Amino acid sequence: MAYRENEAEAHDEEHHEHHIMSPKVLIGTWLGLMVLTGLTVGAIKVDFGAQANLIVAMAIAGAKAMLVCLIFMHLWFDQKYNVMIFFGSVIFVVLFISITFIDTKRNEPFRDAYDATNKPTPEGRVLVEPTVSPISTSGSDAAAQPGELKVPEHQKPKVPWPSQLPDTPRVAPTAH
Amino acid sequence: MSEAAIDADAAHEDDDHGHHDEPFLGHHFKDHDHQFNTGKLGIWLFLGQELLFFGGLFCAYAIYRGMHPEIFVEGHHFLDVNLGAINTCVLLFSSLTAAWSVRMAQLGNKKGLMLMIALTIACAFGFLGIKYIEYSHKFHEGILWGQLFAPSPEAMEHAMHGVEANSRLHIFFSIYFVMTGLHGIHVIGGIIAYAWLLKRAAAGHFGPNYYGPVDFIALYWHLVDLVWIFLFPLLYLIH
Repeated sequence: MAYRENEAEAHDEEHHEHHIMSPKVLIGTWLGLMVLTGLTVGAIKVDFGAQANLIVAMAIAGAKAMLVCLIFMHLWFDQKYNVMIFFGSVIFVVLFISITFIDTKRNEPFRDAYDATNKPTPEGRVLVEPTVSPISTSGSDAAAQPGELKVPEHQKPKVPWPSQLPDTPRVAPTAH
Repeated sequence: MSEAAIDADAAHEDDDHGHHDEPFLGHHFKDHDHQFNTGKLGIWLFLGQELLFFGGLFCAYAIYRGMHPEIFVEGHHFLDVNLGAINTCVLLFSSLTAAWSVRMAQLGNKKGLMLMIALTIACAFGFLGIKYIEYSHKFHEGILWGQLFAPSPEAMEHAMHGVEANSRLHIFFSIYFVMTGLHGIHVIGGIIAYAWLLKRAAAGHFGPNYYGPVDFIALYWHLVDLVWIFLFPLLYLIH
């Protein structure tokens, strides 16, 4: 029974196959989760600043998630490969969000330029080419205006801004 | 495989691999532990996939909140924190009963197992009931997703107190309805799975040797709880 032996090696301190949660642990975990829920509802009423409030809320949610994962989902007592699968997925979700964030930050000057030109009207937004260009090509027409958006050198796009492309009038679908 | 070979296999199975005294042990498994651990690996792979699946929506949330934090501050005024908090408690309690159902199955307590499963199903219906109250209230007031977003003046006044709402506010409700809606569909899936489990528990299928399905469905249920643990502060608790 090599299969059993391997398991015994991985969990020598634990008879994990029939690990039964005691009522004390189950109710204790649940009470902990309820207290943390109360805490997160209370914490939002305190002004730590928008960013800090979000961090506090996420820290409490993370603590609750760990309680659920480790005890209710008994990952603490589980085989290591199940833990690897789950936290592997968590890592990929974090990677997914952070890489998308990098891309979004990179595009922010374009969005701001678009917003500066395209003020929403009751009829919706009429799309016109931005008069404010994030590309400060000194000496050229639109970008040379005073009070321009300042784009750091490394964020300047390598592709032409739409205003440098053949003119195609576009109308946005009515918003709302 | 030839017919003769199949016959030979069947004859062989009669010898020692059939597990005739164990109706729920697959003949391709060595023993109950083998079957249990295989099933467990399967459910964890599924849960890993679920996490990535919801991850796409959390990514959309993060990007839009990063770009337009103001619409999230405005949007959460339209939601009822109390109902959200009650739903969190309902779901946390159902996680307790789900974890307890595994304990009951491990101990071979059929009545206790059925009670815990029934409580979990009741909590799931409670959660959906509260969600229904929230949704119907919003539908009634025209607080819908995307281009359908047309809140009534009263709803607007109630949430915004005369301040003009951001023109992108509808994005918040697109995210709100997709994330809570998909989560709600998972709750319905959990109810179906638990109803099946209740039927099997009533038939006395589960015991200390065979309780895999109880454990696996509880794991799924905990994941549904886990998603809500993040959805609640992200949608209802914004400062």
